[in-house]
Amino acid sequence: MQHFIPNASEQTKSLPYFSYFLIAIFAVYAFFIALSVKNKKLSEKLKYSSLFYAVLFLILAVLNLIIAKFALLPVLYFPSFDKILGVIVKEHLFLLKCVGYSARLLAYGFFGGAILGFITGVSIGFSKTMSYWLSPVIHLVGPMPSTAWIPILLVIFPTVVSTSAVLIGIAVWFPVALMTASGIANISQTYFDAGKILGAGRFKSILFIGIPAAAPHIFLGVFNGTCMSFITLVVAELIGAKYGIGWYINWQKDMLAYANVYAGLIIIAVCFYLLVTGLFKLRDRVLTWQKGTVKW
Amino acid sequence: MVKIEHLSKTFIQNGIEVKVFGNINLEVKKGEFVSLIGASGCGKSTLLRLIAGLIQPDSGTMLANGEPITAPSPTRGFAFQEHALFPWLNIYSNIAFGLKMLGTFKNNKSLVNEWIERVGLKGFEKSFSHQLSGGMCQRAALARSFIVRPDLLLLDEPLGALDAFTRMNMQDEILRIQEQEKTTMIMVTHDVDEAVYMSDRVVVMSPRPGRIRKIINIELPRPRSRISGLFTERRNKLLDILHFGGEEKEEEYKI
Ligand SMILES: Nc1ncnc2c1ncn2[C@@H]1O[C@H](COP(=O)(O)OP(=O)(O)OP(=O)(O)O)[C@@H](O)[C@H]1O
Ligand SMILES: [Mg+2]
Repeated sequence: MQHFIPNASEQTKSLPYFSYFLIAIFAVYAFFIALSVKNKKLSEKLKYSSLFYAVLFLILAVLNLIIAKFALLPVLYFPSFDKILGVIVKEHLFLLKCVGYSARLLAYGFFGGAILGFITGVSIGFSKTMSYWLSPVIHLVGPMPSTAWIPILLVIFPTVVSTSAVLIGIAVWFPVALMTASGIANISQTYFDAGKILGAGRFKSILFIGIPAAAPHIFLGVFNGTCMSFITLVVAELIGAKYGIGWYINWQKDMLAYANVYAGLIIIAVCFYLLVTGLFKLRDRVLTWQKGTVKW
Repeated sequence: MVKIEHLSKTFIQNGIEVKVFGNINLEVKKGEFVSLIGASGCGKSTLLRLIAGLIQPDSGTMLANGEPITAPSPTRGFAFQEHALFPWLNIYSNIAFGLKMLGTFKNNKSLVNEWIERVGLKGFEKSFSHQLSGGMCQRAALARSFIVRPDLLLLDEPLGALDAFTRMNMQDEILRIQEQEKTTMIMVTHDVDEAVYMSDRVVVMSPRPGRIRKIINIELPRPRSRISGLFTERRNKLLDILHFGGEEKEEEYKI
């Protein structure tokens, strides 16, 4: 269909990337079907997901008809799939640079925030003094959206990068600290007693009982933190970044280059999906001992 | 082995002082099996936790091997009612936990396998506690306690959560290990049969404030039979003392 109905004249000319995309997908799918002849599990999986993919591509085809073939929607805001994919192909170096830049920011903020949050949570969980001083801070500062700090952070920190990283850090810090502390508070005293009996001192109790027992909660905190960090990342890049995928989308929107905006959105979705999937994979490895857990 | 004199303990509950017991005296000889029996809330668990060193008394002295008890020690093991295996460790690591804490694991790896075999859990090393039955978990917990070679083992209703059949098997298992290891045992139980079957002495406690009402010597030869006349006689005598016997039971109902 993509091939035989010509694009409406309103849509500017572009190479038929959507055709290439469809062919590529078809090739991959055919490859898996070939594999599944021998592999029963894969075959089951394919059968299970086939309806989803069929409907997905049907919707894409209908959208393609509406947008590209008949131009029923304003062309400016709804560019053809060809154009969107074309942006990804043509600007892939620049986009990669933006992704790299965002990834760096995310990594600084996320790891900084997660590590600090973990330390805060463990301190609150195990030290009465720390709990006395830090709990009010967490309860007061934690629920504030970290973006509210932007005006102050911009003054305190010298560069946009550090401001953005700190912003993301704050967003991650709170859920991780809160969940770590509550995870530790929820551990049955019996486990600590059993540890003491078997010769675990205070430090070993924290390391070998407190932290592993609270690990499911800590992962929940990290997961919430990850979601917060995504939100904050996109916002943070609006405050004067020079590169970055969030910045790219906003910039292209201002240029009314909507094909580029969609391309950026697709890339964000794919990246975040991969990150969250990786996180869940990591959790499944660390928390094999847990009975029922949320599957991703 | 264990000597307790004038022990008293008070808890603060919602701002109110709750006196668990005011004056407990008890001596347990080396290698002895002593059961603690008594109504709920009379302070049996509290007494065990005091002996373990998990909590501190208000006054009185507690000696283990002549040394005052001030803190928990691997020489005084503890078996909890709900096995208390660490759910995040597999059976192997649970049993090895004590050795790891003492830093002697590297030189004693064969000991872990030995204990896994002794409690019949070979093949389940990699399993987690939620994948095993209650009896298997309690066996693993026993191995975890015994592997550090305590000279005293405190058991707080260790078999309370098991079905009758598993329970009887576990009683024999505990007695078998105790005979081999010569461990002194103090066990809380609610089961009169269990107390008579396993103990050299049964300590009967009564509540509010907790005190020791009576100490009964069970002078039955081992191994004991659960169905012999002597066993039943001892059991009935103990039930009598616990006010569950014929007439007094009637009396209880009248109140
Ligand atoms: N940590 C604590 N804080 C406050 N009160 C406590 C604490 N532990 C026990 N108590 C109180 O001490 C009393 C004795 O408790 P304990 O657990 O020793 O009884 P028990 O004889 O083991 O009872 P059960 O047979 O039900 O296990 C109870 O009244 C209980 O409420
Ligand atoms: Mg108790």
